[in-house]
Amino acid sequence: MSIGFRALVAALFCFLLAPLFVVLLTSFSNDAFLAFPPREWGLHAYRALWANQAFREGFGVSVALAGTATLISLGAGTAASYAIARSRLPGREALLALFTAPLLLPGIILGLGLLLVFAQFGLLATWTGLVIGHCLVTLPYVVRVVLTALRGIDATLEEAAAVLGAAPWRVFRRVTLPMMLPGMTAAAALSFLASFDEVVITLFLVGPRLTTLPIEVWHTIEYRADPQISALSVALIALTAALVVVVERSLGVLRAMGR
Amino acid sequence: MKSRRLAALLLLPASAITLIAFLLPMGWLARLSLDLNDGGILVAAVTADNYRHFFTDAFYLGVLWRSVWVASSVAALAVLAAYPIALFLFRTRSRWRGLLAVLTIAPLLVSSVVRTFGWMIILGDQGWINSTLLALGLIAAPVQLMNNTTGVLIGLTEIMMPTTTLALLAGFARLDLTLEEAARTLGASPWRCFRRVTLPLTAPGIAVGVLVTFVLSISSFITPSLLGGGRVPMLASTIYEEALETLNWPMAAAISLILIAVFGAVLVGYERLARRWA
Amino acid sequence: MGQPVAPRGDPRAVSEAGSLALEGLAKSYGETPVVAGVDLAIHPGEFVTLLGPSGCGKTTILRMVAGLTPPNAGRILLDGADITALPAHKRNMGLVFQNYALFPHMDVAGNVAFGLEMRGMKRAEASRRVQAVLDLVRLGGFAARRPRELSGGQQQRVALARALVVRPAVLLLDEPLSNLDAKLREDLRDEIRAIQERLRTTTLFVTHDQAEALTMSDRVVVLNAGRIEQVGTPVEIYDQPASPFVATFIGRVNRLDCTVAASDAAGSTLTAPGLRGRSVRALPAGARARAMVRPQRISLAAGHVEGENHLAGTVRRVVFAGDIVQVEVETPAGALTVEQPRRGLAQGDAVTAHWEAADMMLFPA
Repeated sequence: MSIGFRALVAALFCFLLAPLFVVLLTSFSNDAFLAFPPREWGLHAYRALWANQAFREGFGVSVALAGTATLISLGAGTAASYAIARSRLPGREALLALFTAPLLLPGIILGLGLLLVFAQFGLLATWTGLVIGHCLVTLPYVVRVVLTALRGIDATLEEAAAVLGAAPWRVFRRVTLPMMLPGMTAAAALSFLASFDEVVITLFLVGPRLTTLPIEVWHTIEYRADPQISALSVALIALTAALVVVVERSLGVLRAMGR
Repeated sequence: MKSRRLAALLLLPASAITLIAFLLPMGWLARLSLDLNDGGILVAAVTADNYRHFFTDAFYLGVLWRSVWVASSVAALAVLAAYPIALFLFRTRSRWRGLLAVLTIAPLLVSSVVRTFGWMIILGDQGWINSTLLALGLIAAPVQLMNNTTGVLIGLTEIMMPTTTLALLAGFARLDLTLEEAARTLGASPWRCFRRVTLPLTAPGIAVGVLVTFVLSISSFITPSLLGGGRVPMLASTIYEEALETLNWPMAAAISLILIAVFGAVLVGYERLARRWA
Repeated sequence: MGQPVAPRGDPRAVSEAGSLALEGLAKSYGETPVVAGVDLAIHPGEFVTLLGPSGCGKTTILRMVAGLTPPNAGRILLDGADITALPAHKRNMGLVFQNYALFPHMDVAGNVAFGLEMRGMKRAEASRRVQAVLDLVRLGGFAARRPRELSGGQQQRVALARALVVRPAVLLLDEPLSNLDAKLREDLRDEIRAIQERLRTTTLFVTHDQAEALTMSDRVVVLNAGRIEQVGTPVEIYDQPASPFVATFIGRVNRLDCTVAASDAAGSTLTAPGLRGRSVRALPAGARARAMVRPQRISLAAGHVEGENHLAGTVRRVVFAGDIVQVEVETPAGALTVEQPRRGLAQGDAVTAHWEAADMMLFPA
């Protein structure tokens, strides 16, 4: 590949990573108002972030919400994946398509649908509503990733265990489940990330007293550009990076996304 | 697993979630699009009034047109920008390949709010580009790169690039590196090799890339809202406004179904084209 | 119900090598029959090989015996007890897979001990048994290794150890050597046979490689398209094939189309262009027949010599193949390939191919 081509690719990579780079830089700004480049450098933004009560509450809600949705989806999704991969139930391919369908539709439509139903049942701006809404987003990830992992497990291993005397539930506990753990770990990490970053659907589900961190950020950005947001963004990127490392170490990012 | 009952039991929790959070809301939404909104009060009906209103009102038609136009432009730009990256990743044998692949996909895993915020910093009146150009004396006053369609195009293109790259790579399967080498040994210059071998063989990938990017862009909400500053109304932001500000839920539902219809039309068109080429 | 397999949960019981009987075993996938009615009796301590080309149903039969694939018809009897409906984990058999199927998340000792663990054996006792069987397969020091650290041959021996340690009633092996390279295959072949002879475990071995079948087995079952073509000792299969399929599948043959001139209790007289033949098999007089002679059973005399089972011809080609020399001879009855231990003939030489009547296999055309 020629030098010209490589230079082009390098430039495109810079374009690709520009926003993240800029966010990182401005997080070290001591200005009251966001400007590029910062007139004063320092950790003022991080300190203000730490003291920001609204963001801390939002963070707490987001973490608890992501954790709850992940746990529920992990249970439901793993069970469903196992049934799809190992049983001969007719229509299981159709069910798989149904479980992963939410990923195909735009968040705005999913969110509106939830709004309409929740309004009817008084679930708007409630914790339950938020959990249900986030499970909608996290379940497809879990099903897809765990199914990929399951299909990668050699079926002859389970047969070997059976011939060696293990009853079906013992085969699951001693052979299948331990081999599913990397997939489940990756699924949990991706699911947590998906829920934590969720904005569009959540916009329809939050209320004045119950809101998540991305929504707080969204509202703040609409009205002012504050270096605190950059600092928060850097923290979120760090969290994302940590979770991606978890996914890579357990299953591998490309494999988890089905490629 | 032999027992069908056990399999059905395992599928139950996921099915329940899908029913409550997905099927029920979507059905409700479809049904509601046929109702009417009379000054904030829901009127149960079975009418196509909302749809008729959409297709006869200049504002809504403008939204539809703008959405299609922006999405098409972003699809073209994103494919143009992602193609070299995808080709590079496909060809490279360097040991940095894994790292570069992760770097390409990593932005996808960061919240789009954060990424769009980054673009606001770059494109704003006091942002990176304007500051640099002003400091270099190339312009006298800040160039409007935000709160307009230009900003949306730039930001959305970059936001889409990782997904487009993945779609391109998926479609590159038919491109065997040895084919390019064969062409070169037969006397083709790099440009001709590209035009006669690489490009045709990667055409399926390009088609998928355009499709995926178009579909995601036309339904995009966060980036057009933030970078458009309310002046670039597209389908998604219009749905949001109708639902949460105007409180015209039936209308919002109708626009949602129109958006899905656009999806469907594009997918059908793609299928037809793909079958013709195959 | 005859005396069943060694009771589960009693690890100290030494399983008697079991006798295995297959009655009318059949399996189809949809409309396609894969195993079309197989009857077979295997005696305790015997080493029986299922031999055939891919798709002949041999692996399916093995899996039905193991309990992994349910048959559509027929019965499987272990020591006289009908185990057809018994689930795999209750059959007390040992199965060695083609791809080894070692549990990657356990070390070698864990893998080998798995079957003992399922039978409730205490740790201390299990450890001793595991070490003993690892010594048997010459992997005594490998207990703490992980499967991925082992070579193909080592993994296969661990798989063998894992299957043997539970003292199974029947040992099943599904093409265990196919994934190994040639030299390793030969070494492991001898090792498996030696271990089996020592333990006298009833063994059912599946392969498509006739060299393995002939060298390792007490008896060979030749399968074709889901049916048994012949059951016999390696010598019987080789020297007295029951059908053209068996004759051509095992070893190499020359084919000669001929007509039966006369036949009696001692055999048949045959005619073919340039040949007055005699076979020990009897077919009806006047019938068209296909005769087969193995290349190693043909001798070449210089010049043209008359006689029964003598066919004159000219050397067309001589190919030096290291271990043997292949001589292609053109005759009025067709082309013959003869194998000789050393060189000596040249293209164009006049020779006469001749062989014994007992070596002339005969089948209806």
